[in-house]
Amino acid sequence: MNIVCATGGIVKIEFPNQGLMDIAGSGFEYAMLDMSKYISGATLRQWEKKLDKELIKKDIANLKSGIVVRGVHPRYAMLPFLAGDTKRTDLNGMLTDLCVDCIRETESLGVTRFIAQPLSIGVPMDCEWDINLEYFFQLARALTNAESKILLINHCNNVEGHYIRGLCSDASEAANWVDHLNELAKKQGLGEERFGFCMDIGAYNLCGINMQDVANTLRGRVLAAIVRANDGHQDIAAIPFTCVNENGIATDWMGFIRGMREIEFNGDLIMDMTNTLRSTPSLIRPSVLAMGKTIAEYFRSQIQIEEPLKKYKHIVLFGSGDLGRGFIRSFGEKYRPLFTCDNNSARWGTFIDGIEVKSPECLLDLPEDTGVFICNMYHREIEEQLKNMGVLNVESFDCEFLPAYNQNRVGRQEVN
Amino acid sequence: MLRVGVQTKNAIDYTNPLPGFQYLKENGFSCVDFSLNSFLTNKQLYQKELNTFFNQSEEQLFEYFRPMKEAAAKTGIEIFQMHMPYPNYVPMASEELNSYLRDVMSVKSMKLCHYLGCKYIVSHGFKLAYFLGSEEAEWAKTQEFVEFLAPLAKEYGITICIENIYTSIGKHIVEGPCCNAHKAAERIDRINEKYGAEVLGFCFDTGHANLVGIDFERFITTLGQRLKVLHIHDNDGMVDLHQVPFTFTKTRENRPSTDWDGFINGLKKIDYHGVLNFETAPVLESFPAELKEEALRMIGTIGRYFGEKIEGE
Repeated sequence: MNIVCATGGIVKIEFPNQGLMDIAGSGFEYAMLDMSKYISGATLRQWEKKLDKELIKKDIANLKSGIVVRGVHPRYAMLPFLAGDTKRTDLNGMLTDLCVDCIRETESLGVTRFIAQPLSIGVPMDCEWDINLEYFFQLARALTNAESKILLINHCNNVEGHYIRGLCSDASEAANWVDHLNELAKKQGLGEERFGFCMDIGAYNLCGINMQDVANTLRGRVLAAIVRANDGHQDIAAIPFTCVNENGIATDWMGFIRGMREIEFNGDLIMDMTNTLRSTPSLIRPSVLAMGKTIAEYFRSQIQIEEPLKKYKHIVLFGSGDLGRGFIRSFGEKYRPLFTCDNNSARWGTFIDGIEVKSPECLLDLPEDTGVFICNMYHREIEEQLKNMGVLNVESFDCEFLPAYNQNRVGRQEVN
Repeated sequence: MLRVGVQTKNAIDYTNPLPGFQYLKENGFSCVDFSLNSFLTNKQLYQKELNTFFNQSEEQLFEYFRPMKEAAAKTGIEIFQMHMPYPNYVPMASEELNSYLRDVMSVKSMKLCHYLGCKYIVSHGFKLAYFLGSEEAEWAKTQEFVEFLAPLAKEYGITICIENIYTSIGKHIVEGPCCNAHKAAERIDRINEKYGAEVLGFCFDTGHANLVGIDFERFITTLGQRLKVLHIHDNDGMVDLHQVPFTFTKTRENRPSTDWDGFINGLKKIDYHGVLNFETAPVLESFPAELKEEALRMIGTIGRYFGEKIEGE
């Protein structure tokens, strides 16, 4: 799973070097060029004149030199789209031309994934498929690299300042579109699997859509996810876990992680922190980017939560509270622990679903190739304790988003 | 002309219902949505509390609501739909409480529905996805509940209507049960086929849909004839306020931020012939007592406006 950094808020297309330097310096190897910001929706809806294609070429050349110097691979390009509150209905032709130009120019930089919103403004409901079929095929015909793909993406419509679900927000509709496009592309000799899907977490969150359900419906079609936080009301791209209210987070990360885990997602995570970066003083932007990279790695570890469990022949848990119970309920069958342990001596000799709770001293006498998984919120403190005891193969296991975790919180009762 | 209805809550005094029914009639309402949920509130249930209302025998309950039934008949108002108390399942409550909700509350609600001559009863799906790990597992529990009542529904000719509702993560509103129209349609068809009767239908709630950005027109057209009843009300997209349509705006142009055009188009497309029912009881609390009647009249006027638009060319 690759981690990709969106260039919004950090790379200025006219002067890209510092932004690219910051991205590379934060450990990101891949970037998503944000062409939608390059020619914004606000600009597009007021478009009256012919596009200055030379300007695009000049800017892309500018980017190219920076990319070569900084070693950031531009794997993705977000193609331009009309702002959701655009009233003009005559811009789709111009937009299509612009997207085709962007594909041609950015493919030469090495971009192979082009994210495109379906056309919806000025498109009658009963013509949506026909018009978009033509649109997506025009984009696909512009591809020259056999590896390149067009990724459809969900988005929101703006009804007088209120966001509602736009085209491809419905996962079954999106799945049908991707499948039909691929089928037709194959028939027309445009190549195999030319189309895929990119989940925009921010757009789903604005409409409170169940992302777990979406991921399961789209399954193998999801090649990327744009990871961004918002408060559920403003269409912004903030660094994850920063949009909160007095009751907790305002983005449904649990639904996202559970869904991606269930479909064994192995595509790319695109970190979009545009608004956070724009609002951060330039001097400390590299720190924000570094935090974004750390968060992306956390998401990757959560999605691939079973990977560390596969490394060992045996496993043992540390923790017999809610987190330990959550582990046992969620993974106890597939990865049966030899036992669990706890610092609370009152629990020694008790059982959780047939797994005995023992003293931590028992960790000093483990079979070879046994991993010790800390299922307790005091990870670092326990890790230190185990290190001091000389326990080997200690792993921290974050149970925050387990499928059965919340069931345990419900009075530790089965719901039946 | 499509008929217009409103909740009985805050509009009808159950101990002396006739004046309230007369007033509704005079202001163009020909149907009501009986708020049975007022007698065992969600606030109580989420605090794991029960009251004794449903401990009464069927006969006592029928007797309690006899004046309401008679007042409705006398004024020619139809009790078109009613709302079962909710939630039907409280995740953190005892098995005893949840058994009571299923075995006593829901069964007596069905019998009251039949007694009042009402054809549609709205019932919330279980909110369990967060606990059980998936929407499918959640629906399985709701389906068990629906199937528990289905034989009674068939016997009485009642359609149980599931409703799109929301849930929250912290204070962030996200979709809850029955917010996927494709799934709802498939599930309704499957259950009705199994029972050989229309035991299950849908109640579209505009306010709840607005909170989770559902496209009204698409949702309604996907449901088609499975849509039996409506909960019409408005909000700011953030809080479930149950206010009067056209109240909320978000831009300086001051156009409504709720997609009422989509609502009208959807109902027009499916040739909706049910009742334009308003779930706006809080409006009658937010206006001063002196303006309560005026507020109710405005709701009726908005209902007739919707009717004209839906049925117009």
